[in-house]
Amino acid sequence: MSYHTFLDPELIIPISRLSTEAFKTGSWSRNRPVFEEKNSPCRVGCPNANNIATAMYMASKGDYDGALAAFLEESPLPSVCGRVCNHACQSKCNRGDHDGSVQIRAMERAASDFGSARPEMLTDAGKGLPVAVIGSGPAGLAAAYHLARMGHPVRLIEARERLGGLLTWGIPGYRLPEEILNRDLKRILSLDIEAVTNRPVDRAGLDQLLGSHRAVLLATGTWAPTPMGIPGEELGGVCPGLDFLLNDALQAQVKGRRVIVIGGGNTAIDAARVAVRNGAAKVDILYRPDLEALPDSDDEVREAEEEGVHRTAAHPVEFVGEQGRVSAVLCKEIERADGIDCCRSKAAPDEFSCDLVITAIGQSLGASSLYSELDMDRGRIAADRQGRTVRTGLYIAGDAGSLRATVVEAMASGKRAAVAIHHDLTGKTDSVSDAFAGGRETFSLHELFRPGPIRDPNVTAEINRYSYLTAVATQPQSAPNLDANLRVSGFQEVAGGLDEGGAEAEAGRCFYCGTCIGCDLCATFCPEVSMGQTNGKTAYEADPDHCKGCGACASVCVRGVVTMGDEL
Amino acid sequence: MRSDISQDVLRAGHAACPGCAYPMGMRMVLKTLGLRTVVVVVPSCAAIIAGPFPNTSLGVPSFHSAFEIAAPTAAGISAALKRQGVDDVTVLAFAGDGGTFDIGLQALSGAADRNEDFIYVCLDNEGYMNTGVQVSSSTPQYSWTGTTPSGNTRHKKQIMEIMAAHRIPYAATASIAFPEDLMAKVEKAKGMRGTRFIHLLAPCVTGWKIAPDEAPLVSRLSVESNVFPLYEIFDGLRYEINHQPKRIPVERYLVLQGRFSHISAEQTEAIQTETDRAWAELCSREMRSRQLYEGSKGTAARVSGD
Repeated sequence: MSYHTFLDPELIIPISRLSTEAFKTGSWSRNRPVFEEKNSPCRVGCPNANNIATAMYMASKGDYDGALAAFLEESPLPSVCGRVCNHACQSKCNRGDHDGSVQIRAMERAASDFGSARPEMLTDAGKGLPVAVIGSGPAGLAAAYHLARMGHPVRLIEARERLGGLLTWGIPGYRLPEEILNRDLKRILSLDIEAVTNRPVDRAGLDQLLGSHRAVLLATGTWAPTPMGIPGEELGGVCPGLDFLLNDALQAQVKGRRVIVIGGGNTAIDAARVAVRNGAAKVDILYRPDLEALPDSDDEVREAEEEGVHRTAAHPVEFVGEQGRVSAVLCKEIERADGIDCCRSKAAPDEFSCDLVITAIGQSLGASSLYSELDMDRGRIAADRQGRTVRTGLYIAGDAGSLRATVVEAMASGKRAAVAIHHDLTGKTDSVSDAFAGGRETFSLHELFRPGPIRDPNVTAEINRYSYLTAVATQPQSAPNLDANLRVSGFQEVAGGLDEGGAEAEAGRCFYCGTCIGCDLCATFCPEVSMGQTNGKTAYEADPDHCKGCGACASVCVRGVVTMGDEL
Repeated sequence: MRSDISQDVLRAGHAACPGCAYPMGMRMVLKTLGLRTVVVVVPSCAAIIAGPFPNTSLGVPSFHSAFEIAAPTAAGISAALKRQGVDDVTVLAFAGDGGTFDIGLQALSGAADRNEDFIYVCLDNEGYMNTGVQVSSSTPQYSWTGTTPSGNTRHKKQIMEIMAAHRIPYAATASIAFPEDLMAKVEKAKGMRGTRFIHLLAPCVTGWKIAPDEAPLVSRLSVESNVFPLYEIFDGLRYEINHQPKRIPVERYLVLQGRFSHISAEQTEAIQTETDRAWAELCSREMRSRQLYEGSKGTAARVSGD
């Protein structure tokens, strides 16, 4: 045995045996990190408040079922919206100025193409409280879907022979193939919804429905064309855009003819492209830049132009004809306005000769006994922002009550009305305003029924310098469109969809703003070893005994979930 | 890299300034090495973080040594463990840039020359920060410190080239802003024998005059602007660049730091030029070493002392 064996080192050097955890360095701090999931800007931008960040995260893991389920939280029509939505969300994307917005619409399409999911029930509180929905367009379908998810027995009544409203009759198959719409319809009808077709409702029918149901929702849309109000409109060969889209016989007439479409919106573009597909010799769109909104998406204009449609800024003042048939459109000259280069120069010819004219400058409510007792506002039925009309038990959704005529706006209004009906029937106080995202009409149903406090609707995730610094710049994924020469010969779908790999890569570009995905950066960077998930909770919390409030966690939270709170 | 606090070796309650990059780096290194580790600390901020007697934040056996002898102390402990037949314990030395670039350089050189068996992590905050921000040979050119009030006139010492010249088996640069890269390098070093050197840039909130929450951002920018590229040197010869930077202008890195607030446009330009030159040289070294040593892993590795 050597001398070393007996030497106690503590006799010659001090040894620390206690932990520094005894020092409550938390007392140094002026503030603490706050973990709060927030609305993503895209979700606030989406009129329907789709849970895009969660869907993107699921898709980035290849879980398309989960991605579809996230879309189904708020929307009954992901296959439809994945194709025809005007994607207001994408213009809000935090990646927009960095390297291009995440292609959210293409991702919604991918989720609906590759995933399968069933709609989730929210509550059964609506049991025994039947509701009738008149009209099966996007607003009626959305209302029926959400009412059924809240337990209400729903009777969905459609005047025409097929469900879908404008989706079926107004949007041509090259943008929305019939089997795609049917996929969404089938999913909606898997809920407790009794769908009745070929059943127009008149005033007596409405009164009867109000008697047999606890509430009735009018989602009848706007089917009457807005007249141009100029001479010659009554001439043969002048027809309204929606009539043209609805009527195969009218479409057959364009073969070999010169067609002029008047209008700037989706119906005008669709009418022009349908005319091209029916063999029109020449298709021109005349749009009035001072009066008309441009189409929702530039893509459609570009695609129409690829197919040979010409667009000209002009202001029609008269239709002239020979022997009762239109032969030309007379136009006023348009001055080139400062800064607006869409206007045509003064050298434009005043007269556009043609064989057929399609007017598509908008839709109006038209006259119906259904509305006779209701108040009107700017040509639409007046209601509060959740669709309650002046008549008790009667609600309104969709274009009939709104001037914002897009599929997604109609769906959103159907959802708002569904919640108003549910709350009015179940006697709940109106807490809906708490679930509005971004303080506008955008409204999350899932948020309303989720247990726990409602996410503050006025807080949108803001991402920081670190997010952009760590993001590798990548181009958005895209899928090629069908060749223009092939398109014009039929009604095949024009837009290509991403493949699974492409969709996964695209979803991976998302920052998932405001949604914690457990990336763990906040905990990894904590110099105090005090940030973490405790007791199986998903939220990250700082240990108040030791957090010095440096803010490193918040500085590396690329999704804006962890932020620094106010001074203590 | 999912972090579970219960798996952490570093403990809370240490006395680092709020937002300090030292404990971020120490935490990542220690967590990777695990509990079978002995740590040597020498006077530096790391010694402050290790705790005042009788408390310690290092959850593994550790030894406070003198300023200039981090490397030989680690070498001694490593040799003693081997003598006792313990071969599954990693000996780790934490030293600052003062203890590495200046005061401890001779002792480090001696230990590296003998290829002693330990991992040496230089936590480089580019100055004597613990004593109140004085210049060290690691302080970059033009930077303010207490002893260079109008800007440092010297260049930053190229410690990686010095270590490479010893032909040690492994030398690497690392950044707290790249935790996965840092932890992978520590893991790689753990699996090797001989002197392994990791140069870890650790921004000092106080001395660099940055906001307490900016250490990760500034670290990230140091790499993305090429001021502090991430690379490895095997056997002192074979270079490997680990991250292709975004080549952000150095101005965006400098402008965040109060220690560079006085510099002129010409000086910024000079730093950019030097950064570009150094990067081009690093790239050419990598290319040249790839041509010379491709596939010849371990050609120059020397047999460990024992």
